[in-house]
Amino acid sequence: MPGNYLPSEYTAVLVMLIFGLIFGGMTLWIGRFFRLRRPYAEKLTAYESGNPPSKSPRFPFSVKFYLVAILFVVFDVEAIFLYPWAVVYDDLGSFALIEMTIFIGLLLVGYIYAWKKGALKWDR
Amino acid sequence: MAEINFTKLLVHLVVLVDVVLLHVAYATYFERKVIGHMQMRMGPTRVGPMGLLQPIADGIKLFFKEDIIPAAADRPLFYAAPIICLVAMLSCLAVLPFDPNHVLADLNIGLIFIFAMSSLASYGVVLAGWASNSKYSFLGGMRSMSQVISYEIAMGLSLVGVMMMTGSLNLGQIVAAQAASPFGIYAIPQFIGFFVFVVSMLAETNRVPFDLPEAETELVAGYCTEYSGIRFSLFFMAEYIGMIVMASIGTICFLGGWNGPFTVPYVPFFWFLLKIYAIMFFFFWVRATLPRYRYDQLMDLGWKFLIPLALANILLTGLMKTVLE
Amino acid sequence: MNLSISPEAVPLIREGIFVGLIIVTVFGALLATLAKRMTRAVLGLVVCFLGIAGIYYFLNSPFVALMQLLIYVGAVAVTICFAIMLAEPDERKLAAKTPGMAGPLAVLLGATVTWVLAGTAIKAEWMAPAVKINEGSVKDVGVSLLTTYSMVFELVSIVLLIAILGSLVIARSGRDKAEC
Repeated sequence: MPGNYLPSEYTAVLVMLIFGLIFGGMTLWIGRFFRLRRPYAEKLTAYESGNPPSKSPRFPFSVKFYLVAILFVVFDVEAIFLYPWAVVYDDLGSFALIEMTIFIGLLLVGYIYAWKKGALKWDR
Repeated sequence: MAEINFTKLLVHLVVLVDVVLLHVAYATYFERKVIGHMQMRMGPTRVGPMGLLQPIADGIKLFFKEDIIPAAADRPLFYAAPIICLVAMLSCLAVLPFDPNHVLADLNIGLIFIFAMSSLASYGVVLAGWASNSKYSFLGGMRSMSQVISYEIAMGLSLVGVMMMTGSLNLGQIVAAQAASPFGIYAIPQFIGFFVFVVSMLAETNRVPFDLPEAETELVAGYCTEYSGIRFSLFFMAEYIGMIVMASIGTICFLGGWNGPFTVPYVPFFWFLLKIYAIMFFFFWVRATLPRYRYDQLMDLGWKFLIPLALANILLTGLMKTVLE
Repeated sequence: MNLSISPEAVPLIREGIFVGLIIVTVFGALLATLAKRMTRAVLGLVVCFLGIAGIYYFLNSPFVALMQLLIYVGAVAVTICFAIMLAEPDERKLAAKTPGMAGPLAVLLGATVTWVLAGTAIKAEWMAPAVKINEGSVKDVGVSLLTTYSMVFELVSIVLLIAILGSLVIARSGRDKAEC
């Protein structure tokens, strides 16, 4: 069986994740026994500057947020392709640069199109 | 490889977390003092000599505060949100090299790990906003999410130049390669990248002038409006650990990490800590100086200025490397 | 007290981690499908993705694991999150709209997919996981991406371009309807 070992580098990360969970959970749990708890209806309503909350707090918001999310996905993927490219840039040289220029160039077309279509306009 | 000394690992980890939490506590003191003096005030003075025990008092106070959970809140998500933030930020600490010999997890792709974890933390924020069932929280969560994801791209792209110069994603190797480079620090040849990084660092950590998600003058406290006591302080910890992580990344990738002009005896991590404190001071200085951005300006800055600039920086770095060879 | 692990215990621990990851993945998947509230379902999806990233890592591909985290957890699930909140943030209205046939249909579809996947999985000859770990992983990906698979690499950018255009079209028709 290949890799029949524990990679020590990542074990530390795993332990850190578990430690964080326990730390967060324990802080909340231990605190239960020390803090006072006197809830009443008014205290438990959502804060709205002292007024009783009006309407549902969850309302549909501007479609622009969604556009930002989509553009984010696209550029995030682009950035992720850039990382291995950047790492091997020294080995591959100008060939890699040309390839990446084409890659980014195509995405820039989309970016400029989105800009021209007003997807990046927030004051409207 | 099989030999993992868990005792050593756990001790190392607990010490690291404790030191960082102490830094978090005193970062608040440092912040209040710096801003106080910049505004011709004294900052905290009452608790202990020069107010030095103030963060401890704050911590104790928050611990004993009543934990209010709004009746309309989505409880499981409300519970999970601060822990997600905290865990994501804490695990970033594991990959930071403070010294050639002091790194908990020497990942070959440490930089990407940090990006991944900070994107995970944005869930905590948006879930908090959603779960609180309050208008302010919801708006704060949404704003935070879209701001963080917008500037995450700029930040990722700003570091590509550094990756190109180093040929590695290992944070320790980035520092080592930097020490061998002509200038000693990447902040000089990569000044565009450094600029983009610093701006997006402020935005990623929701600091002034990009503190719209928590803008107290318009959104009360943003996504943590409904959080109180110890739950709030978990968010608070996560935020300040995030600042420390970002400051460390800036130090490692642009300011030469643990290397300094000369070695300082008996003071471990002297240069690393000094550089982190300098960046933290910068955070507070900016907060005392600049007004808040308007939302459309913030998005414009991220999408129309920083991202093209970062891409131009990558192209420039590539061309320079090809020309110089 | 020294908690060092003896070499004999390593396979056991590996198995333990593997089972743990599968439990996390399945738990996330169940949460995603069974949750009444969409936001909780997204959280389940994120947990599921985290488990899958762990399995990728377990197969000695840390780079792919972090890609999974960055793209799926960091980007795709964020988009889904936004889409849910954009479309109908008040899920009480949503619950009433589900047609009665949806449940049986979903079960049928799920069973078919499971059957096909399981059939393939049993028949397939599995390759051993990559032996290399934590060394050169990113470099190898980069080199083969830019040389052997350079065509694919450029095609990816076209796919992404189409994604931008598509989202713009969808968003515009959404804007006409919602007027916001």
